[in-house]
Amino acid sequence: MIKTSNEKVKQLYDYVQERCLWQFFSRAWDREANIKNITRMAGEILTGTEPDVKTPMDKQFFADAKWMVADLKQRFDWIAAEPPESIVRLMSELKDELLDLAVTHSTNSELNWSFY
Amino acid sequence: MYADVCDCRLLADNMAPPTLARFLLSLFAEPHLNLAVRCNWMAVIGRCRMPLVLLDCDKVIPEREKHVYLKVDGEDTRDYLPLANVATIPGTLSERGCSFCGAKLVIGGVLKDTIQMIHGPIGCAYNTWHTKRYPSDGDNFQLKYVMSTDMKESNIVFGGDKRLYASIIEAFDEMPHIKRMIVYTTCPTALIGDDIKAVVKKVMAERPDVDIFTVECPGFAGVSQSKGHHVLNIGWVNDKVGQVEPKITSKYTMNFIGDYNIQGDTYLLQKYWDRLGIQVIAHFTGNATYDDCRSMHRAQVSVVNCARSAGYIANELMKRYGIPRLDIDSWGFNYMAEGIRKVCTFFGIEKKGEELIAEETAKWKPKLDWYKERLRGKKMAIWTGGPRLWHWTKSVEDDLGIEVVAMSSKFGHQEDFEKIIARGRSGTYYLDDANELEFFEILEKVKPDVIFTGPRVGDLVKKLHIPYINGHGYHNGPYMGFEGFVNLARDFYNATSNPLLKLAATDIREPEPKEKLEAAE
Repeated sequence: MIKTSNEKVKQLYDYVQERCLWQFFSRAWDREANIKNITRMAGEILTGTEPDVKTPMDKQFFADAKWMVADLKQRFDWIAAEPPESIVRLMSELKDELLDLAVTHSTNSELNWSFY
Repeated sequence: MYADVCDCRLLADNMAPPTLARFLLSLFAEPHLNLAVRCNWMAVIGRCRMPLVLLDCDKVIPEREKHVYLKVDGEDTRDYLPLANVATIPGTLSERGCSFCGAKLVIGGVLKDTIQMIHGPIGCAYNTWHTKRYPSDGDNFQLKYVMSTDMKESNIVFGGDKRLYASIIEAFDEMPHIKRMIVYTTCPTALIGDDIKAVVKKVMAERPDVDIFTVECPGFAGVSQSKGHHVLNIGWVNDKVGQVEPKITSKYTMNFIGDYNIQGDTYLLQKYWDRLGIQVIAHFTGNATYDDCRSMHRAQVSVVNCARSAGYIANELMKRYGIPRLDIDSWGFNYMAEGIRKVCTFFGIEKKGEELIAEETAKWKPKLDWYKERLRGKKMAIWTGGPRLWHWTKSVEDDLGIEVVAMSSKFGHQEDFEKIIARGRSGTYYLDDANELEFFEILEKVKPDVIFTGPRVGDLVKKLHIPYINGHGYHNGPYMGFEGFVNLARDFYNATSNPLLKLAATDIREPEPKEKLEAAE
């Protein structure tokens, strides 16, 4: 169960559960990379900072982050009024919740197998 | 007395329900525990047990309880995740296919220019031939032909290497325009240790113009067809990727992974990629050639639809060649638009993407909405392989107002159940490797209007006068893309509006004359 009592984080978390396949890639290493980088870039886009997109992997994270942000803005009116420091905090909390669900306390027994 | 919360979870997970009930009561009777601690344990134990369902039909095989899950509000997959991708429990009649089938029928057999050589008894070839409708623009070679070494008792006793060699030569001689082949082992030829790699090496040395891939994945290699997906993926990236240099015709190149051109899915999506100016280096493996798939290392991104059957190769391309993996849903109106947007953002061609989405939406959304008005509130069960459960559950809900009340996966892993449960509704049943009796019991509980499943289960439910739609090969596809989702909606509407099944349930026989019945007594 989600741990935060912050209603806004809950809304963001519920959105990711419903829409985002990247949180549930095959193994812990790729889930972690996706969750950390996509929430970071989403935070940057929401605060008006242009994400640093240099590598092919960055492009993938950016594609996912950009459309998550577009959806979030459409679904949650409050997000546009949120100050940048609050956005950073919300995204950080969201990242922690997602890592807890999909990596740290995931009950998926295949998550840390080195072989596919 | 009670060590900690983790012990409680373990304890609760292994307790029979009456024992658990007594244990719960004992928590309140324990004098030295304060209320907060008791409540904490109660909550933990409640989460452990609540979603599991021991169906009446499973009372003789109670292990099945760990494979049947009922989602409740406030739960997530940290609390409980059904067991999946584990051996079928003795006593249950599984609907699963074998591992060889996963390699041949699902992935390898789709290639349009490749001889499929099944090294085994004839049934292994027949039962993985022509049962899935994946056409190609290569004269449907892959649907017309399948080759078998037709192993007999003497070949099993004395070895089948020579027979395999002769069969490969014969097949290439019979079809001189075909220069590519996949050779599969099956259960008996794996058990007797036929060295198919050595045979293939010999043929390729003798005939430098041919190329052959070997799949050593007998039916018993894994717990389901999923193992065959795995073996083929990893074998292909090890043995074949990187051997062919593709002709690059666009600034934008990608692999499209995990789409098998079911009733033309690939054709439909290819129109989108063409309009966007994106070159698909390889479809893995819908309407693809053998050599397309040898050149996957040159794509800029791997766009993945079916992560279950082909996520392995996408991950390996990422690790070995630095090609990022972008997972999308190609089924569903809203999802398809999102997928196109993400692909276009990757390449920096968002404007083109928006134009495409606007055109397709203008063309197909009114039709989709016509069906949505008529399908809203209908109940659907999805009993397919695994990924379609998470691809479809939210898309039919959002795009068509349909409620998915039960989902069953034949070969999904726990990764799939994480996605399914995250997207699925509370109050919906989630089953792994379900059997027929479980299907019947679940039907009684959820009473769906239609079931998306395969022909075998479909024939069962038809006898109950519940319509089924072929969830594997489709009824009238393609189902991917904007147009495809309208096709799915149309099939759903036709199935649920057709009066035939209700009429079929009506007994129109004349009642037996009374005197005849008495005479019979």
